Parts: sequence; structure tokens; C-alpha cells
Amino acid sequence: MRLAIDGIMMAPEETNLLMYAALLVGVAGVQGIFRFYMRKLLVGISRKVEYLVRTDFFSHLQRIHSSFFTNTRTGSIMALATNDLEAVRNFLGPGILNLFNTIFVFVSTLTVMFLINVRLSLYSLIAIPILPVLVSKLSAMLHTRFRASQEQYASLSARTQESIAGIKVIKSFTREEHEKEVFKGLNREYINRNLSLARIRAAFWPAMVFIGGIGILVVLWIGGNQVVAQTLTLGQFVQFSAYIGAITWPLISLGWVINLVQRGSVSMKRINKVLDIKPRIRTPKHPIRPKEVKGDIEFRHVYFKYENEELYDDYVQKNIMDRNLLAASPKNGNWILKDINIDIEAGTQTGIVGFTGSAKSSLLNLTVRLYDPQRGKILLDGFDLRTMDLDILRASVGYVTQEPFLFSKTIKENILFGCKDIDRLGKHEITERIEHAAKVSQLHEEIIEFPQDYDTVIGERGITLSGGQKQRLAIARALAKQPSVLILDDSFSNVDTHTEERIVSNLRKETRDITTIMVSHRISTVKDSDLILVMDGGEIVEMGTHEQLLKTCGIYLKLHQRQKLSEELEEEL
Amino acid sequence: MIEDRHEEKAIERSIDRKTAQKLLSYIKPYKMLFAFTVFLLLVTAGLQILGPFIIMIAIDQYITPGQLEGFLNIVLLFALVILLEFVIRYFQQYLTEILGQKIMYDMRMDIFDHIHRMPLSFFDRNPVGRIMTRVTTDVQTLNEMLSSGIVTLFGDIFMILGIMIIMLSINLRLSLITFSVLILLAIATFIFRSKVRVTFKIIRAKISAINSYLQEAISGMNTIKIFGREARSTMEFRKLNQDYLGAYLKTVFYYAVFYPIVTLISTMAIALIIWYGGGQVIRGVLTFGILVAFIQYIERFFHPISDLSEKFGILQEAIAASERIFNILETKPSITSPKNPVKVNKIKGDISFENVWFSYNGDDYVLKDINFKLGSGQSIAFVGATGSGKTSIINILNRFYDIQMGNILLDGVDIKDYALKDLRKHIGIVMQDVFLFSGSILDNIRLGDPSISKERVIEAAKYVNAHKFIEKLPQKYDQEIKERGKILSVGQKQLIAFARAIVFNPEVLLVLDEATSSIDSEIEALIQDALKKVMSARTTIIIAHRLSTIKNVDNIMVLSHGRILEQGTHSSLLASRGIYYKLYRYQYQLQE
Ligand SMILES: Nc1ncnc2c1ncn2[C@@H]1O[C@H](COP(=O)(O)OP(=O)(O)OP(=O)(O)O)[C@@H](O)[C@H]1O
Ligand SMILES: Nc1ncnc2c1ncn2[C@@H]1O[C@H](COP(=O)(O)OP(=O)(O)OP(=O)(O)O)[C@@H](O)[C@H]1O
Ligand SMILES: [Mg+2]
Ligand SMILES: [Mg+2]
Repeated sequence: MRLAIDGIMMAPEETNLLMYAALLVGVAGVQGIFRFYMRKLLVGISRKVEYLVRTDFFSHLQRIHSSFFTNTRTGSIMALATNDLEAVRNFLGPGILNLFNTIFVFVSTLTVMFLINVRLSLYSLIAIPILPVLVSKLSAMLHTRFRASQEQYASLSARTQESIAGIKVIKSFTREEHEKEVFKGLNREYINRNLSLARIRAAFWPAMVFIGGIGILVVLWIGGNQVVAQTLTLGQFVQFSAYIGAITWPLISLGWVINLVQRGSVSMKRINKVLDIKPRIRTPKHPIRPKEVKGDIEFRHVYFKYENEELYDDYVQKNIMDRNLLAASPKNGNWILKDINIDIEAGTQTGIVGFTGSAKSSLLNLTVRLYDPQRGKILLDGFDLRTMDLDILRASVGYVTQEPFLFSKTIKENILFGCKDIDRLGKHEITERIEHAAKVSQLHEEIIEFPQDYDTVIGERGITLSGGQKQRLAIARALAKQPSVLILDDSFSNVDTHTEERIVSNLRKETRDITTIMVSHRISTVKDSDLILVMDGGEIVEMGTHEQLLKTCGIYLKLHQRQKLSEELEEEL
Repeated sequence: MIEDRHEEKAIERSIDRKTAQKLLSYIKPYKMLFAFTVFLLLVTAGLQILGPFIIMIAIDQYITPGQLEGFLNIVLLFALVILLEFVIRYFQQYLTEILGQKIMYDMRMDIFDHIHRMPLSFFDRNPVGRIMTRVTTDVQTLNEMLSSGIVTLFGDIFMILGIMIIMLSINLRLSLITFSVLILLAIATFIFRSKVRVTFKIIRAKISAINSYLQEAISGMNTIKIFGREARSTMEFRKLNQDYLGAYLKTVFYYAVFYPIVTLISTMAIALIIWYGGGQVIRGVLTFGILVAFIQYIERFFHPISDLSEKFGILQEAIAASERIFNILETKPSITSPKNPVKVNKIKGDISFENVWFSYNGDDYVLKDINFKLGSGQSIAFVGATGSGKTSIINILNRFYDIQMGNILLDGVDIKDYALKDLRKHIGIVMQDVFLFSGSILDNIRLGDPSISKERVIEAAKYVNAHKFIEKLPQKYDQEIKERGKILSVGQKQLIAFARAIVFNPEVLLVLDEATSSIDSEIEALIQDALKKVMSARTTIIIAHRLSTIKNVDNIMVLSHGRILEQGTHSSLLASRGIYYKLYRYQYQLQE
């Protein structure tokens, strides 16, 4: 383009103006097409990378052990998958695009400059050495400030998430103002950190213009003198100052790219921190894959405690030492579960009772390897759980957790949540499976009264259901999986006794050859079990059938009497 | 799985102007700052023009004539200009950032505040992740537009206008020819905007869907693991992600095509001038200088325009995001305090329900014709099968939802006539589904209210028998319990929630909705004893499935399918041998 203009300027009279004009447009057109493809390619690639990283991130999340989620807030994980990922993508797309542009313009302009006058070129670049110094200095500052900003964004996001999730509590205790105050603090801190970042970032553009300006200044002074001394023609001088001016723009853009690179690298580091976590609980290399799981469960000298993520880092570092330490002192240490020994035969029913916080749920979590015990082993059908294929293990266990989590899908989809074989089943069979599960858990009658019966969408976590409905839906979900082992963790706590009685008797019929483990605070629920465990402070303190335990005169008897007493008291009223 | 339900649908509506107005209204409080920033921008633009001008003088007056006297001065002047430009531009950039950040701050506060005024039904319909997106990601998207976009926009507009005036004053003809190309530009912009607008709306909806999916999946991670859903969740997530990618790739085309086209159009303008103006120069109608000046002006003229087109995508996405934000800000909360609320001095705690009908949606009445009276200091219990509507009674009592028919009176005044705060402040609820925040136990019990002393918190914890287990935690009351209280057992969480209701100590109304359902019978018995004291002074509503928990109440209501079927004292209900009797028998039989 510049050539064309030069052409006109040099020989204006006779040139075919139309041709030049057409040429100009033609060149611009070709350039445009090139630009178009370059943009499409680079921006497209950056989007695709974003997509790949996000999907990867998600599937990796699902492999990470549970304790990670105890220690990391939902909102901060989300910030990684959105805000941080966006920073990475911005670096990959616009960042690299501009870097290319910058390098291209820079190199081509410099070449022309050197062709015109080497000495002057060198002089004019006198300010360039400042560049690396300046850039590395500012970059380091940018880096830390970006990190501070991203971290604050994660806190902001986490707080928002919790505040919305806990809206019912906030409203009912009229804590809206307080919530707002807290948010205000986080919000303020966020913009403060952004502004401290801006103080550095705002320097980039002017600094680059300034460096370019120094170049022009030098050219003006030295070049001017050269012209006067007649070592340089005026024309060359004019051209030269035009080119040095042309360098300024890529310099500015370079500043911008550095900014994007810093942001991208901070964010990538944050994302990698999660991606680098090695899932602690996973299928071993050569897993045992039993064709059929009968449901024999055995606990042998199991010791367990929860580990904090921070603690875990240390733990990895001095891995062996710690292991020895653990092995050396099984008696002390704050074990949540201590020396658990259980033998549950396939097809039997086991009840667990115990005080609040006596680690009943913790015990159950171990059976599906949500956590692994530090010492001892757990066997299913004689195989150590850690040697088994994780998918097979989990597929064979129907575990209704104490606080069941339902998804904002239809009731049908929720019930079918764990069914892996539905693709092979016919429509009729699926319906049958769903309805059967719902009937056993005494939910069918209620569901068909809902406006869209099984297709009714329930809110997140099942908020549009009553407490008991949630629990029963969770039971149905576990049943539909057709497990070999069924575990119910206090799953009737919000169900009235009448309904509970019916479900329990349904289950008894249903689960004749299924191993069942039931935790309850109500003696009545577990008293017919083949084996009852009584837990206290992380230990099994009593074990036996109802009759045996009554004879032991321990906690079980006390609990039983207390419950009977209150019932009888009422009878007398 | 997440279909774009409700308002996720990207409906093309032309509310551009409204959106723009709203955005401008956020700038209003910072009028001065804004004006000053734009002013600085213009100053830097002036300095930018001044630089070449100085060089021109240097060439014409010093270099060409070969006069070196005073040349140093002019060079120093130039140095001064670039230094000045450096300083002013720095401040201009920084001030622009301040402006943008302040607006983002205000916007976040507004959305956050607004969300907290929405009724519960809003949260039933909208997943947490989606609402979050408004406060976090959507506002973030505005960042770039706010922090540099608006200021540059104004600067650019001034620039363009200025150049137009100069061009017009130099040569009317040539100017008009140049401007004729603008029509092409307008058409191109129009086409692209209409294409891209819809896509960006879809993009915003998609990112929101990704967020909600992610939020839910992370919250329910254990369930996903237990049910071996990892592979399928990944598939579902990939699908959402792919949709998002697809929508973006579509914009990439427009975005990539638009910028070169703008450049092409500006070249066309130059070409036109060369062709037409060049001819005129040859014919001697026009001077060569004017032609060169014009070509330079055209470059200057199109620079801000192509600059804008470069930011076009960002701008459009920001507009789509702000539309979604304003959408939520415009949704009026349906449950609000009345204009002139009743002044509350002291509430006695008389409650009466008169022919109350209530449904969550449409005609499916969950509560039908509920009537009861509860005198101050009395206690009442609701029993009934699961799903019979017990919790719903609580939900309407503190106006989480509004009823369709009938009246609910507190101390003889309709609850709708109280300010929401006054009403809710007087009702202490232990809710069926416990929610704890990340933070210390102390803060969870007093919910961050510094006016509640630690002593009172400990007292309440002792009262519900939580003190014992709290003392065993490494940090005791300062123990960080993580999101949703994950490091506590379910029973322990329930105790904390119970302590919370006690410590807030509503003088009047205590509501226990399955407050001890996950607690062992030993602690429960202890709580029962303690409760007797509390209940004697307060109006109490108890919901429980374990009939043993309600033995102390004055009146028992038996609910079934949203109707009160029986009521009376424990003994009178037993004597009448109705539903209550049956429920009771079951429990008793199960026992022995
Ligand atoms: N993720 C965790 N991290 C650390 N400690 C935990 C975690 N989960 C539970 N605990 C602690 O482990 C102990 C046992 O908890 P668990 O949930 O197993 O009790 P539980 O017997 O099921 O009680 P409940 O009857 O209330 O359900 C409790 O003291 C609890 O504070
Ligand atoms: N937010 C909601 N939106 C729509 N329907 C709801 C909502 N909450 C509850 N329901 C429905 O209203 C009915 C009554 O629910 P409610 O929670 O009042 O029952 P409940 O008596 O407390 O039962 P439970 O003993 O199981 O807790 C149920 O059928 C339930 O599905
Ligand atoms: Mg438990
Ligand atoms: Mg309820």
C-alpha cells in the first residue's frame, strides 16, 4: 500500500490513476484474506484449546479423591474453569495473533531501516535495551498482582456460591445485610487488587510509546545533524522518521501481549495445580474384575482418619517416614475409626446404631472407597477393595448417603442415575425398573400426583421436594441400580414411621439375597437384622443380634430402654 | 441434560437502547471522573498530533535551511512532549481502569443485593450456578468494555468528528466522496451486528449452562462417584462445552471477516480519493498537498473505526452479558415488605391460620383450607406422612412463599402487613435441611453477628449438647468446618443449626422442623428436657416424625395430603382411634 502511494507521489502526472487505485484495493483485498485466515485459524485454535482444557479439567475433577472437595470451595473451582481458563485462551488467541503481527511488522520495518542507513538505525534503537529490563521488571510485578487478583476472584466466586446456596438460612435469620457487608468487603478487595494491577498495567502503553518517542528523538537530533552535515538526504531523513514512528505501534502491542502472557501463565499455573493432583483413589494397574459380586464384606483391623489436603502435601514428601510412623502407633493418633473388624456374610442384613459423630458414616464411606483406610484392609468377596476395579466395586454397591444429593433433572433421570445398562433395555423395561424402584420406596403414589409425574423436574438438590421425598427418591435411585450390596445411612430420618415400616418390609422382600447395611438411630429399624453393630467414638463396642445385645447390658440396652420408655410413657398418657 | 429452561432462551429482542441507557446510568455517579478521563484522552491525542508538527517545524525551519542554532531547543521541546505524553497517558489509562473497576463494583453489589431480595421460588427455578454466573462471569465480561471500551469510544467519537470537520473545511467535494464509503461501512456493520448479536446471546446462555452444570457436578461429586457416573457426566459436560465452542466458532468467522473488511473499505476510500483527487491534481484543480493531507486524514479517520471493529466481538459479548444482568435486575421480587409496614414494638406470638390455601405452582394445592389458632406461649405439633405439607406451613408462615387464599395472622395482624425483616426476626427456625457455611463454628452459630458474644454461643451449644463434640475439635469453636460443614457428621451439623436458632433467641416463635431427626436418642432426650424450659416462654411449632419428640406439646395437628384431619392432645387423639392412633401404633409395634 505504501508503495502504491509512493508511486503516485513520485510520478503523479502520467500514471494511470485508476490502475493504481485498483491495485491498492487489490493489495488490501489479498491482505484482508490473509488476515481473515490467520485470525480464523488462531482464534479458532484458542477456542478449541479452551474446550479441550475445560473438558479435561472436568473429567480430571471427577477422578480426584473426595478430600480435595472438602478442602476446596465449589466457587473457587468454578473460577478456575471459567475466569482462569479465559485468561489462558486470551493468551493463546489474541495474544499469539498479536505477537505474530508484532514480530512481522517489527522485523520488516527494521530491515527497511537498516537498508536506508545502518548507523542511524543503530542510534535510533538506543532505547531498545531498556525494553528487556523494563519488561522483566514489570512482568514479575504483573505476575504477582495477577495472581492476587485471580485468587481474590476465586474467593468472591466462592462466597457468591455459598451465599446463594444458603439463601434460605440467610433469609430466615434476616442476615441479608451482613451477607452484603461480607460481599462488599470481598468485592472491594477485588477491585483494589485489580487497581494495584492496573497501576503496573497502565504503564505499559505509555512506556512503549515513550521508548518509540526516544527513538524519534534520537533520529531527529542525530539525523538532523547528519542532514545538515549532508551525510543524509532530506528524503531519507523523512522516510526514516516515518519508519521509526511505525515501530511504535508494534511496541505498544508488545506491551499488551506481555500483559496477556502474564495473565495466561498465572492462570495456567492455577489450573495446573488441580490438573497435577494425582487421584489417590483409583483402579490399580491390574485390577481384579469379578464377574459377579456376591456381597461378602470384611473389615480387618481397619484404622482410618481424614487427612487435610495441606497435611497431605507433607505426607507425600515424607511418605515413607510417615507410613512407618502410622504403623508404629496405631493406638494413639486421632483415629476416626479404630481397629474395626467386621465380617458380613453375603445376603445378610446388618444394622448399625451409635451416637452422633461415632463415625458410622465414615465407616460406610470406606466400603465404596470414597476414602481409603490408612491401616488394615476391607475385603469384598475376599478381594481387597484396593485391588478391585473401582467401577465394578461402585457399580455393585447401592449407597444411599446420609444427605442424598439429587440433581436438577427429571425424577426419572434421577432414578436412573446409576443404571449403566439402560441402553440395552427396552423402553418398557426401563419404565418398569423405574416404577418398581419407586414403589418399593413408597414414592410411586406421590409421583403420579405430580403435574408431570416421572418427568417432573426437581430443583437443584431436590429443593422442590419434601425432606422425606428426597430420601425416598435417593433410596429408589440406589435400588434401580440393582446392587449386590445396599447401604442405607439413616435414610428414614425424615420419613414417618408408617411409611418407613412399609419400605423396610418391602426391602426385606426385595433384598433377600442382597447384603444390606442399615444405619439408624431408631432401634426399631435395625432390631430384626442378622447382625447389629453398636458404635461409640469410632470403635465397635458391641456386636450381635438384638437378643444377644440386650443381654450384654451395654449401650444398646440403654438405647433400647430409652426408646421403649418414651413410647410407654406416651401409652400411659 | 440442562436444557435451556426458562429465561435461558436467547430471544432476539431489540432492547439495545435500553441496555445502553442502563449502562450509562452506571457511569453517572462518576461523571466528573469520566469527563476528566475523556479530557486526558483528548490531551494525549493532541500531544500525539503535536509531535509530528514539531518535527515538521524542525525540518522546515532548521534542517532544510541547515540552521543548527535553536535546533537543540526544538529537540528538547519534542522530548518534553513525549515525556508529557507518557505521564498523561499513564494517568489516563489508570483513571480509565479506576472508572471501570468502580462500575463493576457497583454492578456486582447491585446484582448481589437484588438476588438476595428475590423470593425462594426464584431459587427453586434457577440453579445456583446460573445465578452465580450473573454476579461473577457476566460482570467480568463487561470488564474490558467498561475499563477501556467506553472511554475509548468517546475519545474515538470526538476524534472522528474532529477529523470530519477538518476534512470538510479543507475540501467539501473530497470529503463527501470519502464519506460516501461510510455507507458501505454502515451496511457491513449492520449485517454483522445482527448476525453476531444472536450468537453472542447464545454464547452467554451457554456459558451459564456450563457454569450451572459444573456447580452442580462439583457439589454432587460424591454422588457421581458412588453411582459411577463419571464417564456420562463427562459426556454431558463435553456436549455443553461443544455447544459453547460451536457458537463461538461461528462468531470467529464474523469477527475474523469484519476487521479485514473495515480495512478494505478504508483502502477503498483512499483509492477513490487517489483516482478522483489525483485526476483533479493533474487537471490542476487541486493542490498536491491537499491530496496528501486527505490521504493521511483518511488513515487517521479509519483508525479509530477499525480499532472499534477489532473490539467488536468484545463489545457485542459485553452487551449480551449486560442484557442478561439487566434482565435479572429488572425482575421484581414478588415478595416484598409493604409500603407502610406495621410498627412492631413487642410481639406476643398469637398465630392464626384462617382458611389458608397454598400451592407452589398453579392449582396443585399443597395446603388446603388450613385453620388453626395458636395462643401466645402455647405449643403445637404437626404430624403426618411425608410430603403432607408440614414444611410448607413453615414456608408460608415466614413468607418464603405467599399464600393464594385465606389469611395468616400474627397478633391479629396479617403477616403481609409486617416488614419482612420484622416478621422473620421473630421466628427462629431449625430447618429440615441444614445448611452451614464455610467458616468457624462460632460464626456459623451466630452467623457473623458480632453482637452475639462467644459466651452466648457456648451457652447455646451446651444447651443443645454440641459443646462436648466442639471441645474435641482441634480448634474448638474456631474450627473451620469447610463448605457446608463438610467435616462434621450430619448429626453434629444439625446440632449446630439448632444452636443457631437458640442463640438468635427469638422472643416469640420457635419452629423446629425435624430438628432432631439425625441425632441419637440420648442427646435428643437431653434436648427434650432443655426444650421444656424454652417452650414455656415461647410459642412453639414442632414438626417431627418421631412421636416421642412431641409429647410435650399442647396441641397436635394431623396433616394428610395438605388437610388437617385430626387435632387434639395426645390422649384425646389416641382415644379417637384415628390416623394418629395408627401412626402411633406403628411406632409402638415396630419397637417391640
Ligand atoms: N470430611 C471430614 N473431614 C474431617 N473430619 C470429618 C469428616 N467427616 C466427618 N468427620 C468427623 O468424623 C467424625 C465421625 O463422623 P461421621 O459422619 O462418620 O459420624 P456419624 O456416626 O455418621 O454421625 P451421625 O450420626 O451424626 O451421622 C465426626 O467427629 C466428624 O467431625
Ligand atoms: N419448593 C417447592 N416447589 C414445588 N413443590 C414443592 C416445594 N416444596 C415442597 N413441594 C411439594 O409440596 C408437598 C408438601 O411438601 P412439604 O415439604 O410441605 O412436606 P412435609 O410434610 O414437610 O414432608 P416431609 O415430612 O417429607 O418433610 C410435596 O408434595 C412436595 O413435593
Ligand atoms: Mg452419619
Ligand atoms: Mg418437611
